[in-house]
Amino acid sequence: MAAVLMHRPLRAAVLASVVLIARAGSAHAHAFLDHADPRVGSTVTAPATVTLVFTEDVVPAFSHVAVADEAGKAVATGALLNPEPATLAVSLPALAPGAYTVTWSVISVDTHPTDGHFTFTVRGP
Amino acid sequence: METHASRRRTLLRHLVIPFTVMLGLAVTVLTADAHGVVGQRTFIEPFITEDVNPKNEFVIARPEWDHSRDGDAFSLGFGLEKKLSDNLSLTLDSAWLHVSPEHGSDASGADNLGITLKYAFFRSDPHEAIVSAAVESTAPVGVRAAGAEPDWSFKPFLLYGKGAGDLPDALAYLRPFAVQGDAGFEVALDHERTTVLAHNVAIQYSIPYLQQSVHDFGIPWPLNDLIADVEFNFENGVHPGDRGDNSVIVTPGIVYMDRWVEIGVAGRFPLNARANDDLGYGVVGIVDLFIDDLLPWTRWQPF
Repeated sequence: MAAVLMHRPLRAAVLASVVLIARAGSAHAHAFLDHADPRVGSTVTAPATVTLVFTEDVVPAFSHVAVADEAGKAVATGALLNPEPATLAVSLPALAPGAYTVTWSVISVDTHPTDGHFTFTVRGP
Repeated sequence: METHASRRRTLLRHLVIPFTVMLGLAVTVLTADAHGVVGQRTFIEPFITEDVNPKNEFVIARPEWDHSRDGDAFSLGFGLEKKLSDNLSLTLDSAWLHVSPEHGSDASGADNLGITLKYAFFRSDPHEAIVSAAVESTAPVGVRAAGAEPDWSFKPFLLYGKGAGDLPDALAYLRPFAVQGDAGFEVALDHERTTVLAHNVAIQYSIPYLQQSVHDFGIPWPLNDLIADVEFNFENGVHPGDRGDNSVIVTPGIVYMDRWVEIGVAGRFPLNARANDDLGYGVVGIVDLFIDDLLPWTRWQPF
Protein backbone atom coordinates (compact mmCIF):
# COMPACT_ATOMS: atom_id res chain seq x y z
CA MET A 1 0.00 0.00 0.00
CA ALA A 2 2.82 2.35 0.91
CA ALA A 3 4.45 1.56 -2.40
CA VAL A 4 1.25 2.52 -4.18
CA LEU A 5 1.10 5.77 -2.21
CA MET A 6 4.64 6.60 -3.24
CA HIS A 7 4.34 5.67 -6.87
CA ARG A 8 1.07 7.37 -7.72
CA PRO A 9 2.24 10.99 -7.36
CA LEU A 10 5.57 10.19 -8.97
CA ARG A 11 3.89 8.39 -11.83
CA ALA A 12 1.45 11.27 -12.23
CA ALA A 13 4.28 13.81 -12.30
CA VAL A 14 6.23 11.86 -14.91
CA LEU A 15 3.09 11.34 -16.96
CA ALA A 16 2.29 15.05 -16.76
CA SER A 17 5.79 15.85 -18.04
CA VAL A 18 5.33 13.54 -21.01
CA VAL A 19 1.92 15.02 -21.81
CA LEU A 20 3.26 18.57 -21.58
CA ILE A 21 6.10 17.78 -23.97
CA ALA A 22 3.77 15.99 -26.33
CA ARG A 23 1.37 18.94 -26.28
CA ALA A 24 4.14 21.22 -27.37
CA GLY A 25 3.39 20.03 -30.89
CA SER A 26 5.43 22.02 -33.36
CA ALA A 27 8.25 23.35 -31.23
CA HIS A 28 9.82 26.73 -31.93
CA ALA A 29 13.25 27.91 -31.06
CA HIS A 30 16.16 30.13 -31.84
CA ALA A 31 17.02 30.16 -35.53
CA PHE A 32 20.59 28.93 -35.80
CA LEU A 33 22.46 28.55 -39.07
CA ASP A 34 21.97 24.99 -40.28
CA HIS A 35 24.10 25.30 -43.40
CA ALA A 36 25.06 27.79 -46.08
CA ASP A 37 25.99 27.87 -49.73
CA PRO A 38 28.90 28.55 -50.12
CA ARG A 39 29.60 26.33 -47.11
CA VAL A 40 31.06 27.87 -44.00
CA GLY A 41 34.85 28.11 -44.33
CA SER A 42 34.89 26.70 -47.87
CA THR A 43 36.95 27.74 -50.90
CA VAL A 44 34.84 28.03 -54.05
CA THR A 45 34.68 29.55 -57.50
CA ALA A 46 32.92 32.91 -57.44
CA PRO A 47 29.31 32.20 -56.34
CA ALA A 48 26.32 34.06 -57.80
CA THR A 49 24.39 34.01 -54.52
CA VAL A 50 24.83 33.39 -50.81
CA THR A 51 22.12 31.17 -49.37
CA LEU A 52 21.59 30.64 -45.64
CA VAL A 53 19.37 27.86 -44.32
CA PHE A 54 18.32 28.17 -40.68
CA THR A 55 17.04 25.66 -38.18
CA GLU A 56 13.78 27.59 -37.79
CA ASP A 57 11.57 29.80 -39.93
CA VAL A 58 12.67 33.43 -39.91
CA VAL A 59 11.00 36.80 -40.37
CA PRO A 60 12.68 38.39 -43.42
CA ALA A 61 11.42 41.88 -42.57
CA PHE A 62 13.54 41.79 -39.40
CA SER A 63 16.46 39.86 -40.83
CA HIS A 64 19.67 40.99 -42.48
CA VAL A 65 22.47 39.45 -44.53
CA ALA A 66 25.60 41.38 -45.52
CA VAL A 67 28.81 40.40 -47.30
CA ALA A 68 32.16 42.18 -46.93
CA ASP A 69 35.55 41.62 -48.52
CA GLU A 70 38.89 41.14 -46.76
CA ALA A 71 39.28 44.88 -46.31
CA GLY A 72 35.87 45.09 -44.66
CA LYS A 73 34.32 46.86 -47.62
CA ALA A 74 30.66 45.99 -48.13
CA VAL A 75 29.79 44.01 -51.24
CA ALA A 76 26.80 45.41 -53.15
CA THR A 77 24.41 42.49 -52.82
CA GLY A 78 20.94 42.18 -54.27
CA ALA A 79 17.77 42.45 -52.20
CA LEU A 80 17.20 39.94 -49.42
CA LEU A 81 15.26 36.94 -50.72
CA ASN A 82 13.18 34.49 -48.67
CA PRO A 83 12.57 31.54 -51.04
CA GLU A 84 11.65 29.21 -48.19
CA PRO A 85 10.41 30.07 -44.67
CA ALA A 86 13.77 29.11 -43.14
CA THR A 87 15.98 30.31 -46.01
CA LEU A 88 17.49 33.69 -46.80
CA ALA A 89 19.55 34.54 -49.89
CA VAL A 90 21.22 37.49 -51.53
CA SER A 91 22.63 37.71 -55.03
CA LEU A 92 26.25 38.70 -55.51
CA PRO A 93 28.14 40.64 -58.14
CA ALA A 94 31.18 39.01 -59.74
CA LEU A 95 33.53 38.51 -56.82
CA ALA A 96 37.28 38.86 -57.12
CA PRO A 97 39.47 36.13 -55.57
CA GLY A 98 39.88 36.54 -51.81
CA ALA A 99 38.16 35.96 -48.48
CA TYR A 100 34.65 37.22 -47.79
CA THR A 101 32.73 37.51 -44.55
CA VAL A 102 29.00 36.89 -44.41
CA THR A 103 27.28 38.57 -41.46
CA TRP A 104 23.69 37.67 -40.63
CA SER A 105 21.11 38.57 -38.05
CA VAL A 106 17.64 37.06 -37.96
CA ILE A 107 14.50 36.98 -35.90
CA SER A 108 12.85 33.57 -35.75
CA VAL A 109 9.10 33.38 -36.16
CA ASP A 110 8.74 33.06 -32.39
CA THR A 111 10.76 36.30 -31.96
CA HIS A 112 14.09 34.88 -30.77
CA PRO A 113 16.95 37.00 -32.18
CA THR A 114 20.20 35.36 -33.27
CA ASP A 115 23.18 36.54 -35.27
CA GLY A 116 26.45 35.27 -36.57
CA HIS A 117 29.10 35.44 -39.23
CA PHE A 118 31.34 33.15 -41.25
CA THR A 119 33.81 33.37 -44.08
CA PHE A 120 34.29 31.74 -47.45
CA THR A 121 37.08 32.18 -49.96
CA VAL A 122 36.86 32.72 -53.71
CA ARG A 123 39.73 30.92 -55.37
CA GLY A 124 41.82 32.59 -58.02
CA PRO A 125 41.82 31.68 -61.69
CA MET B 1 13.23 2.30 14.28
CA GLU B 2 12.12 3.70 10.98
CA THR B 3 10.14 1.15 8.99
CA HIS B 4 10.30 0.55 5.27
CA ALA B 5 6.85 2.08 4.87
CA SER B 6 7.68 5.17 6.89
CA ARG B 7 10.82 5.72 4.81
CA ARG B 8 8.67 5.59 1.72
CA ARG B 9 6.27 8.11 3.21
CA THR B 10 9.24 10.31 4.02
CA LEU B 11 10.35 10.05 0.40
CA LEU B 12 6.85 10.97 -0.70
CA ARG B 13 6.83 14.02 1.52
CA HIS B 14 10.35 15.21 0.80
CA LEU B 15 10.83 14.31 -2.85
CA VAL B 16 7.62 13.81 -4.77
CA ILE B 17 5.82 16.84 -3.42
CA PRO B 18 8.65 19.31 -4.22
CA PHE B 19 8.99 17.63 -7.64
CA THR B 20 5.30 18.13 -8.29
CA VAL B 21 5.45 21.76 -7.12
CA MET B 22 8.32 22.39 -9.52
CA LEU B 23 6.39 20.75 -12.31
CA GLY B 24 3.44 22.99 -11.51
CA LEU B 25 5.70 26.01 -11.71
CA ALA B 26 6.99 24.76 -15.03
CA VAL B 27 3.46 24.57 -16.37
CA THR B 28 2.37 27.99 -15.21
CA VAL B 29 5.32 30.33 -15.39
CA LEU B 30 7.65 29.28 -18.14
CA THR B 31 8.81 31.94 -20.55
CA ALA B 32 11.41 33.36 -22.87
CA ASP B 33 14.98 32.30 -23.68
CA ALA B 34 15.98 28.86 -22.50
CA HIS B 35 19.38 28.42 -24.07
CA GLY B 36 22.32 30.37 -22.82
CA VAL B 37 22.81 32.29 -26.05
CA VAL B 38 25.32 35.17 -26.02
CA GLY B 39 26.03 36.49 -29.49
CA GLN B 40 26.89 33.52 -31.67
CA ARG B 41 27.65 31.33 -28.64
CA THR B 42 25.32 28.82 -27.05
CA PHE B 43 26.65 27.86 -23.64
CA ILE B 44 25.85 24.44 -22.24
CA GLU B 45 24.50 23.67 -18.80
CA PRO B 46 27.71 22.30 -17.23
CA PHE B 47 27.79 19.20 -15.01
CA ILE B 48 29.12 20.76 -11.81
CA THR B 49 29.78 24.39 -12.67
CA GLU B 50 26.81 26.70 -12.31
CA ASP B 51 25.62 28.08 -15.66
CA VAL B 52 26.27 31.81 -15.89
CA ASN B 53 23.17 32.44 -18.01
CA PRO B 54 19.79 33.22 -16.46
CA LYS B 55 17.43 31.02 -18.44
CA ASN B 56 14.35 28.86 -18.41
CA GLU B 57 15.21 25.24 -18.05
CA PHE B 58 13.98 22.11 -16.40
CA VAL B 59 16.69 19.74 -15.25
CA ILE B 60 14.63 16.57 -15.08
CA ALA B 61 17.52 14.33 -14.07
CA ARG B 62 21.07 14.86 -12.88
CA PRO B 63 22.16 11.42 -11.67
CA GLU B 64 25.52 11.04 -9.97
CA TRP B 65 27.25 7.92 -8.67
CA ASP B 66 30.31 8.43 -6.47
CA HIS B 67 32.60 5.79 -5.00
CA SER B 68 34.96 6.55 -2.15
CA ARG B 69 36.84 4.59 0.49
CA ASP B 70 33.96 5.36 2.87
CA GLY B 71 31.33 3.80 0.59
CA ASP B 72 29.11 4.63 -2.35
CA ALA B 73 26.65 7.46 -2.87
CA PHE B 74 23.98 8.06 -5.48
CA SER B 75 22.01 11.22 -6.02
CA LEU B 76 19.31 12.03 -8.53
CA GLY B 77 19.13 15.79 -8.84
CA PHE B 78 16.36 17.82 -10.43
CA GLY B 79 15.58 21.51 -10.65
CA LEU B 80 13.74 24.30 -12.33
CA GLU B 81 15.18 27.67 -13.33
CA LYS B 82 12.75 30.43 -14.25
CA LYS B 83 13.58 33.84 -15.68
CA LEU B 84 11.90 36.64 -13.78
CA SER B 85 13.25 39.24 -16.19
CA ASP B 86 15.70 39.21 -19.09
CA ASN B 87 18.63 39.24 -16.66
CA LEU B 88 17.24 37.71 -13.46
CA SER B 89 16.31 34.12 -12.67
CA LEU B 90 15.15 32.02 -9.74
CA THR B 91 16.19 28.39 -9.37
CA LEU B 92 14.74 25.69 -7.13
CA ASP B 93 16.59 22.41 -7.00
CA SER B 94 16.96 19.33 -4.88
CA ALA B 95 17.89 15.66 -5.19
CA TRP B 96 17.06 12.20 -4.01
CA LEU B 97 19.99 10.68 -2.14
CA HIS B 98 21.04 7.12 -1.41
CA VAL B 99 24.18 6.36 0.56
CA SER B 100 25.80 2.96 1.12
CA PRO B 101 28.54 3.46 3.71
CA GLU B 102 31.39 0.97 3.99
CA HIS B 103 30.54 0.51 7.65
CA GLY B 104 26.89 1.03 8.52
CA SER B 105 23.51 0.67 6.94
CA ASP B 106 22.18 2.24 3.74
CA ALA B 107 20.07 5.37 3.94
CA SER B 108 17.88 7.20 1.44
CA GLY B 109 15.94 10.41 1.32
CA ALA B 110 15.57 13.87 -0.08
CA ASP B 111 18.38 16.39 -0.14
CA ASN B 112 17.98 19.95 1.03
CA LEU B 113 16.18 22.50 -1.13
CA GLY B 114 18.44 24.91 -2.98
CA ILE B 115 17.11 28.36 -3.82
CA THR B 116 19.21 30.55 -6.12
CA LEU B 117 18.76 34.08 -7.41
CA LYS B 118 20.98 34.95 -10.37
CA TYR B 119 21.43 38.32 -12.05
CA ALA B 120 23.44 38.94 -15.23
CA PHE B 121 24.92 42.42 -14.94
CA PHE B 122 27.32 42.40 -17.90
CA ARG B 123 26.84 41.05 -21.37
CA SER B 124 28.73 41.57 -24.63
CA ASP B 125 27.35 39.74 -27.64
CA PRO B 126 30.29 40.54 -30.00
CA HIS B 127 32.73 39.13 -27.42
CA GLU B 128 30.43 36.28 -26.33
CA ALA B 129 30.95 37.40 -22.75
CA ILE B 130 28.59 37.43 -19.77
CA VAL B 131 29.05 37.96 -16.02
CA SER B 132 26.46 37.28 -13.34
CA ALA B 133 26.14 37.51 -9.58
CA ALA B 134 24.13 35.00 -7.59
CA VAL B 135 23.14 34.02 -4.09
CA GLU B 136 22.27 30.44 -3.26
CA SER B 137 20.65 29.44 0.00
CA THR B 138 20.04 25.87 1.04
CA ALA B 139 17.03 25.12 3.22
CA PRO B 140 17.57 22.16 5.59
CA VAL B 141 14.46 20.20 4.64
CA GLY B 142 16.27 17.02 3.61
CA VAL B 143 16.96 13.72 5.33
CA ARG B 144 20.11 13.96 7.43
CA ALA B 145 20.72 10.23 7.48
CA ALA B 146 20.98 10.29 3.70
CA GLY B 147 23.57 13.04 3.77
CA ALA B 148 21.52 16.25 3.76
CA GLU B 149 23.26 18.94 5.79
CA PRO B 150 21.55 19.85 9.07
CA ASP B 151 21.36 23.61 8.81
CA TRP B 152 21.00 26.51 6.43
CA SER B 153 23.91 27.51 4.21
CA PHE B 154 24.47 30.47 1.94
CA LYS B 155 26.70 31.00 -1.04
CA PRO B 156 27.19 34.39 -2.67
CA PHE B 157 29.09 33.86 -5.88
CA LEU B 158 30.18 35.33 -9.19
CA LEU B 159 29.72 33.57 -12.50
CA TYR B 160 31.35 34.19 -15.85
CA GLY B 161 31.18 32.92 -19.40
CA LYS B 162 33.39 33.76 -22.36
CA GLY B 163 33.47 32.34 -25.86
CA ALA B 164 36.55 32.50 -28.05
CA GLY B 165 34.66 33.68 -31.11
CA ASP B 166 36.56 36.96 -31.28
CA LEU B 167 39.93 35.28 -31.87
CA PRO B 168 41.72 36.35 -35.08
CA ASP B 169 41.42 34.36 -38.29
CA ALA B 170 44.79 32.69 -37.72
CA LEU B 171 43.28 31.02 -34.64
CA ALA B 172 39.88 30.34 -36.17
CA TYR B 173 39.83 26.68 -35.13
CA LEU B 174 40.13 27.74 -31.49
CA ARG B 175 36.95 29.84 -31.72
CA PRO B 176 34.69 26.92 -30.73
CA PHE B 177 36.33 27.01 -27.29
CA ALA B 178 34.46 28.65 -24.42
CA VAL B 179 34.92 28.84 -20.69
CA GLN B 180 32.34 29.12 -17.92
CA GLY B 181 33.03 29.41 -14.23
CA ASP B 182 31.73 30.25 -10.81
CA ALA B 183 33.47 31.25 -7.61
CA GLY B 184 32.09 31.99 -4.19
CA PHE B 185 32.18 31.34 -0.47
CA GLU B 186 29.99 28.59 0.95
CA VAL B 187 28.95 29.71 4.42
CA ALA B 188 27.13 27.24 6.68
CA LEU B 189 25.26 28.22 9.83
CA ASP B 190 26.00 24.97 11.66
CA HIS B 191 29.25 24.36 13.53
CA GLU B 192 30.10 21.10 11.76
CA ARG B 193 31.06 22.79 8.51
CA THR B 194 33.51 25.59 7.91
CA THR B 195 33.45 28.17 5.18
CA VAL B 196 35.12 27.14 1.94
CA LEU B 197 35.97 28.99 -1.26
CA ALA B 198 34.49 26.98 -4.11
CA HIS B 199 35.59 27.61 -7.70
CA ASN B 200 34.46 25.64 -10.73
CA VAL B 201 35.73 26.09 -14.29
CA ALA B 202 34.22 24.44 -17.37
CA ILE B 203 36.18 24.45 -20.65
CA GLN B 204 34.14 23.54 -23.70
CA TYR B 205 34.73 22.86 -27.40
CA SER B 206 31.60 23.07 -29.54
CA ILE B 207 31.21 21.08 -32.76
CA PRO B 208 28.05 23.08 -33.64
CA TYR B 209 30.05 26.29 -33.37
CA LEU B 210 32.79 24.81 -35.54
CA GLN B 211 30.27 23.86 -38.21
CA GLN B 212 28.23 27.05 -38.14
CA SER B 213 30.96 29.65 -37.81
CA VAL B 214 34.40 28.29 -38.68
CA HIS B 215 34.31 25.41 -41.14
CA ASP B 216 31.41 23.22 -42.21
CA PHE B 217 32.97 19.77 -42.45
CA GLY B 218 29.61 18.16 -43.13
CA ILE B 219 29.74 16.31 -39.82
CA PRO B 220 26.47 14.32 -39.60
CA TRP B 221 23.93 14.17 -36.77
CA PRO B 222 24.31 13.45 -33.90
CA LEU B 223 28.04 14.19 -33.96
CA ASN B 224 27.37 17.74 -35.16
CA ASP B 225 25.53 18.47 -31.90
CA LEU B 226 28.28 17.32 -29.52
CA ILE B 227 30.21 19.55 -27.16
CA ALA B 228 33.25 18.37 -25.23
CA ASP B 229 33.44 19.67 -21.68
CA VAL B 230 36.17 19.40 -19.04
CA GLU B 231 35.50 20.89 -15.62
CA PHE B 232 37.84 21.53 -12.73
CA ASN B 233 36.25 21.76 -9.31
CA PHE B 234 38.26 23.45 -6.56
CA GLU B 235 37.46 23.78 -2.86
CA ASN B 236 39.78 25.71 -0.58
CA GLY B 237 39.48 26.02 3.18
CA VAL B 238 39.58 29.64 4.29
CA HIS B 239 39.59 29.31 8.08
CA PRO B 240 43.04 29.54 9.68
CA GLY B 241 42.93 25.87 10.63
CA ASP B 242 41.80 24.84 7.16
CA ARG B 243 44.41 26.65 5.10
CA GLY B 244 46.03 24.23 2.70
CA ASP B 245 42.95 22.00 2.84
CA ASN B 246 42.48 22.19 -0.91
CA SER B 247 40.52 19.73 -3.01
CA VAL B 248 40.68 19.47 -6.82
CA ILE B 249 38.44 17.21 -8.91
CA VAL B 250 38.35 16.93 -12.70
CA THR B 251 35.09 16.20 -14.52
CA PRO B 252 35.63 15.35 -18.21
CA GLY B 253 32.49 14.72 -20.25
CA ILE B 254 30.56 15.00 -23.46
CA VAL B 255 27.24 16.70 -24.09
CA TYR B 256 24.66 16.37 -26.83
CA MET B 257 22.66 19.57 -27.16
CA ASP B 258 19.99 20.48 -29.68
CA ARG B 259 17.16 22.99 -29.59
CA TRP B 260 15.11 21.12 -27.05
CA VAL B 261 17.31 18.99 -24.86
CA GLU B 262 20.78 18.59 -23.43
CA ILE B 263 21.98 15.10 -22.53
CA GLY B 264 25.45 14.50 -21.16
CA VAL B 265 27.68 12.15 -19.22
CA ALA B 266 30.98 12.76 -17.46
CA GLY B 267 33.46 11.03 -15.18
CA ARG B 268 34.69 12.48 -11.88
CA PHE B 269 38.22 11.90 -10.66
CA PRO B 270 40.28 13.38 -7.81
CA LEU B 271 43.41 15.28 -8.77
CA ASN B 272 45.01 15.46 -5.33
CA ALA B 273 45.16 13.47 -2.11
CA ARG B 274 42.68 15.71 -0.30
CA ALA B 275 40.09 15.18 -3.03
CA ASN B 276 40.76 11.45 -2.94
CA ASP B 277 39.69 11.43 0.72
CA ASP B 278 36.14 12.20 -0.46
CA LEU B 279 36.04 10.65 -3.93
CA GLY B 280 37.64 7.64 -5.59
CA TYR B 281 35.78 7.98 -8.86
CA GLY B 282 32.33 8.94 -10.02
CA VAL B 283 29.99 9.32 -12.95
CA VAL B 284 27.57 12.19 -13.45
CA GLY B 285 24.89 12.70 -16.09
CA ILE B 286 22.43 15.38 -17.06
CA VAL B 287 19.10 15.55 -18.88
CA ASP B 288 18.03 19.14 -19.33
CA LEU B 289 14.91 20.35 -21.17
CA PHE B 290 14.89 23.82 -22.75
CA ILE B 291 11.37 24.54 -21.78
CA ASP B 292 10.65 27.75 -23.66
CA ASP B 293 11.50 26.09 -26.95
CA LEU B 294 9.41 23.07 -26.03
CA LEU B 295 6.49 25.13 -24.73
CA PRO B 296 6.48 28.49 -26.49
CA TRP B 297 2.83 29.10 -25.52
CA THR B 298 3.88 29.52 -21.93
CA ARG B 299 6.01 32.63 -22.38
CA TRP B 300 5.61 35.05 -19.58
CA GLN B 301 7.90 36.79 -17.17
CA PRO B 302 6.88 39.27 -14.48
CA PHE B 303 9.49 41.94 -15.13
